[in-house]
Amino acid sequence: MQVIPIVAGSGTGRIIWTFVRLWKSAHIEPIVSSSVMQKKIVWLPLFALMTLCLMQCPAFADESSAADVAFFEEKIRPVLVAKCYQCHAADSKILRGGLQLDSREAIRKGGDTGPSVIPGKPEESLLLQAMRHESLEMPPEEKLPEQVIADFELWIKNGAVDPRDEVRQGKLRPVDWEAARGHWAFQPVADPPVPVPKNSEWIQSPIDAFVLERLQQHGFQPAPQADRRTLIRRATFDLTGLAPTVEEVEAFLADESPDSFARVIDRLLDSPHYGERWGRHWLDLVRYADTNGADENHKLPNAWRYRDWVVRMLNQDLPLDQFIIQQIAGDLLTPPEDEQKAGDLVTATGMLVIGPKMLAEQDKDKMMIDIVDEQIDTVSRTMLGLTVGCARCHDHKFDPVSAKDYYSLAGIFYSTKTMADRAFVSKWMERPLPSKEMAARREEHQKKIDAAKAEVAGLKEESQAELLKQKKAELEKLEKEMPEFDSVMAATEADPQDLPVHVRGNHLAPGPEKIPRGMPVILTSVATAPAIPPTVSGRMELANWLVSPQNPLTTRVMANRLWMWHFGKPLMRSPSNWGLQADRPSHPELLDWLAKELVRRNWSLKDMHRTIMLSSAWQMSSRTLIEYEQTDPENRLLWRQNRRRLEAELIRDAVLTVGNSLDLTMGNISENTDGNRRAIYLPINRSALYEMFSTFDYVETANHIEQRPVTTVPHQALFLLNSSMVHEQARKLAELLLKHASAESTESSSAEADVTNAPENAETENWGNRQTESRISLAFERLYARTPTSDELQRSVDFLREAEQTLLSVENPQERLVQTWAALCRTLIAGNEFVYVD
Amino acid sequence: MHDFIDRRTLLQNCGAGFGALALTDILSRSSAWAGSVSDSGSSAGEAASVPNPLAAVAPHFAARAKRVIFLFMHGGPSHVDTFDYKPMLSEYHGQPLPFAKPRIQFAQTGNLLRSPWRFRQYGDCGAWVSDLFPNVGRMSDDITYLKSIHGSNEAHGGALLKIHTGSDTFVRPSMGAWISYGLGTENDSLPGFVTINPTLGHGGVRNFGSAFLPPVHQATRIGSSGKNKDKGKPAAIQNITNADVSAELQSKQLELMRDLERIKRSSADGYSAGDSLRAAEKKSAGIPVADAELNARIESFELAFRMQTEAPEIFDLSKESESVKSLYGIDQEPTSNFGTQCLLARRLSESGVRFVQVSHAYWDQHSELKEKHTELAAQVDKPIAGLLQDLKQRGLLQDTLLIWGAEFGRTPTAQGKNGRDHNPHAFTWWMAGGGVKAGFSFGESDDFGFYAAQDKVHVHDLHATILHLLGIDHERLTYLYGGREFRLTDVEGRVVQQIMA
Repeated sequence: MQVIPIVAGSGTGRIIWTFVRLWKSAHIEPIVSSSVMQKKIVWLPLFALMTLCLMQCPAFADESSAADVAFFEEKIRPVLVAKCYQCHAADSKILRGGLQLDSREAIRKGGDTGPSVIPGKPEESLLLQAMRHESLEMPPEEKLPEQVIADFELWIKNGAVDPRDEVRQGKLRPVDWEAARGHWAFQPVADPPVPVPKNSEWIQSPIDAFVLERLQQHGFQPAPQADRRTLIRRATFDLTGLAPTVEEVEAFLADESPDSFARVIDRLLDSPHYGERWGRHWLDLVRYADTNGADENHKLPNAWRYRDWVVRMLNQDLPLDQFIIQQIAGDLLTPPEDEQKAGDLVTATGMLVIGPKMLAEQDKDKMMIDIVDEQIDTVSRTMLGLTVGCARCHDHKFDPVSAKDYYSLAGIFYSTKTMADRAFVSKWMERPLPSKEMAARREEHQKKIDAAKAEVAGLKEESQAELLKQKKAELEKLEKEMPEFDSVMAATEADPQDLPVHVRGNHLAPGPEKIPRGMPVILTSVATAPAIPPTVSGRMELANWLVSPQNPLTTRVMANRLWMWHFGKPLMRSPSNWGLQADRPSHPELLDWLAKELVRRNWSLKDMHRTIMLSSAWQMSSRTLIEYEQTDPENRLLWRQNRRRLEAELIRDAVLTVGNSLDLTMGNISENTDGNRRAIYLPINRSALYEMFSTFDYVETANHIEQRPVTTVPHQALFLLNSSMVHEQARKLAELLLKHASAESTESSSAEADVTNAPENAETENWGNRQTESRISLAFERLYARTPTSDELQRSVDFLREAEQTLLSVENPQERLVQTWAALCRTLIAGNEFVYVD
Repeated sequence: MHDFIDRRTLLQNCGAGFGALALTDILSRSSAWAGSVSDSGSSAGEAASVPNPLAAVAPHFAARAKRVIFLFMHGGPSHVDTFDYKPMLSEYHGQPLPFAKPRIQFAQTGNLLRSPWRFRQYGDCGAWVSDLFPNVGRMSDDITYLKSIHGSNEAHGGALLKIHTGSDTFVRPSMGAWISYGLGTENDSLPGFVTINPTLGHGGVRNFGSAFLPPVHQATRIGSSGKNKDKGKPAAIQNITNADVSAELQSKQLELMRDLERIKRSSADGYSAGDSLRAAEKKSAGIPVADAELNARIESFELAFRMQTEAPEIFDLSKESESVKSLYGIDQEPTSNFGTQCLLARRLSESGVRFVQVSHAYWDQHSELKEKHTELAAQVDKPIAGLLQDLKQRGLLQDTLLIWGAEFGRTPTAQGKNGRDHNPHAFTWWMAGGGVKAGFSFGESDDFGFYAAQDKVHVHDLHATILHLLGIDHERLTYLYGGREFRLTDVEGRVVQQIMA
């Protein structure tokens, strides 16, 4: 066994080693439980033992070092054990500050903040500083007695003699980078051949070939195609977030041509509401909101311009790679001639600015780096599906992302300006939208101001006081009236600079070296990182690298999200975490094929929607099969489509559609949440979210949302049973049903014509007639896009009859009729079928 | 403990978008209501058994407290003028602080400022309490004062978030949400976490939100401070009732819902072309997992129906005796408003709501300390003491943890002539009941109350301690999100064992 000399040059290693062996055999180090006082008792015999040892080995006697060891054993070790090991030893439950104090090597190496003990230099030893509460405050409960601190000072001054030469390994295993390089998600996207399974008549698209092959491997059959009413309802909600109208359903049912469904998809993709639906998906990823939230909930009055940009670009089918590039670095692209387009490039970078910020944080350096953190988290999870944010305080615990990787990305965002100032309550960046017209108006106006100024200058204080006062007032008014450019939240370049690692994420503890700006190293062997010139932030390079065809993650991540939004479940289960903890996708080849297809299709989302929705896989019925469920309850094999609950916004819009109240005006922002605009235009107040939204699981407004949760709680039921919104819409539909059927009966002039008019004398309505059934039928068509079955008709008629009995106190028969029908409508709205897509 | 893990896994699954969160098990327990609706809807009754996300969960170890009432004093009452007596302040009045002020300050402060209030000793424990809180002072023998609390953020927003969520940097679930997640609710027809009159500024909903925990754990908000349109309205849960609908009609609606659902499932025509599938399904027995979510949804309507009968009763304070109302100061000003909120808190807590927060604003006296603190304390002192007494009388105090605290304290040095600035470096909270010592004081700030000095208790330690009192190990109450396990206390938190009774 090798002996390490402990006190340099003293040549006493051996004697100390001997002592240590003796010591070890005599004593098992207790951890924490006993107090310093108790320890002293334990150690006294040891001290005697050591003295004995020294006496027996006179050749090696070095009294001073022996005394040092004794000093350590008596004064130092007991304190370390009792007061420090709980958090700073190999077997600590949680090792704090990366610092172990349980071996000589460890105590000298120190933790995140550097060497803990420097022999001979008490003033430079962090351990002592912490004990004196100069830098850190340790132990955290209370300062140790002055005498103990003096002992440590003396100990360090005398060379910090420390016999503990067994290095103890902590539990934390570092990430195996070599193995991580082989992680499936970090491999280049493959171009898998499309399989050729049997039963090829089911195959409408290469997607189906992948799905079918897998099903056949498990002896499964795909579900049959959903019926046409289900298909058009599913497609309309999928692409526009709206329910199909009765007319749209009828038209589709009447169209017998083979490409009728393809034309429905084309129609929906051409609808401006497509951008609203898919824009909202995107807004989830980039934590869109209209107020700051965080500490100071200021309005973000121009956030909507970014939101509208998202909607417009998706409607224009801006290729996804461009869509990403522009949001990260649109301001750095050469602006086109066209003003609107040039403005769009600036607006796009609003993505970086709309996050929540601690505007009143008084440590402005912390505020800045927290904002950078928030940007890294959003961008890395959204685009790369990597939780890079986890590496802020230390190397990532599970993934091959080092703190250096984090700070190389942080440098890029730190070199990007998204805050206008560092004021007491700071202000985010806004930039004017280019407008020649506005520039000209401003120039004109400036001339007026200049003229007024000249006039004021020409007047004399003494003789023309009255006139001067008047002219000054006029000038002031003119200055106030200067027309302003429209502004957008947007980023621009700041002074490019590299950042050091912040030890434990603490900006006050910078590491020794600056980390060059760049991309996460683990990915750069697959997707070469571009060099970042010293004069720029690196945003452009980052954006281009994210969408480079070599990048193994971005296309996979996006393809998986597309799939999730079409099927309710992703192929890879954790859509924003593709690190080592991620499950393998259920269909790895299909995923890669989709990722490649996205690039082959020039990153066109609309092409991808067509490809997916024209597959047999997407068109399957969502009906379940109990035998299959026993093997595959989650439908991982894709033997059916998934039934999906509508998101909060869609439920609200659907409710407003019931009574034809939904206002389909596009763009800009609704004043408040009471309005009838589509949900995407309602203000998202991070500090006081519209309760209907949070009730239906749209809760998170400050962070990237990888997938909306679906919960079933009574508050949702209360909304559907009692809210004034549902009551109003149900009533409107009731009135509409009554009107509609009246019109119909007038046309047909049948014998039943007058049933809607209140019967003169009768206390109650005669419900057993065709007109009632036709009204019920219309309600089902409007709410569920289908006609009722005879059982459903009968049960609904029974309900109307019973409901009316509970409403006999309503004296006006017409009013009673409306209320009775409204009760039916409310029940249908509350029903599962209204909020689920089959 | 096995239960706990299973439920956690389930909730995580739910967070990932699949798995049904049915409420069936509570409903099967509450047969009273189930019997009063149509029993024809057998399909929903036989739903696959998926646990209720709010069902009560066994704690990690024996709990000292079963529920919490947190009285939150928004703005930051001055500890050196209420519960942390500093005679040295008078002695050194007008002189500079004899040691350095912190690196980051919210505002610049000047020299030491003596407290305008007289302090007296109360009870057998001899606690010193200022004349701002004579009623609370008289309850000192039931209280543990914690005088060495320290946080890390000097602005309201950050400090509120720190107190409520443990983080002033990241978006994290609030303490109440963690507790609801960890323990569930004791009452099937009430939420697990209710916040009365919360502030919508300084972090707003984040202070009582669920962040990445399932949304069911966010607080149910009752009223909100500073929202004019809520003023004068009786406190209530949103949409709890609709005056236009009779219970009779609504129960008919629920019957119809059930029946239509059943008809649809068994229907032979109309909505699906999947003939082969349907035939196969008919042959097999049982309810498909895929339909459990739908069943759960139907059940949730029945639960909601029950809530709307029970909840208003809890909110109806008219059943309380005059003497109880008077104990809370409801019969007089200026205590009527806060007294009502405290009484409501007791009623909710008594009915099984796990975590009730009551907020009072706005203790932010950068100036006019004397006038404003006098006014604010007069609104809360009697109601708080009343609540404590009432809990005690009813035997609720032994397993109800009452907490009083704020986001920070105030500086012993003066801001301007007559104010004090924010001070996150030392402040006082107190706790009562729920397994903490009675008539006890723990920790000390320095001679002037600027910094916590002895037996320091960080905000994370408070969280760890509160969870501990509820029988939860703060290191084991975790939730997997975005690739790692999260805790209320992050990587911090030490349980303050010294205050355990």
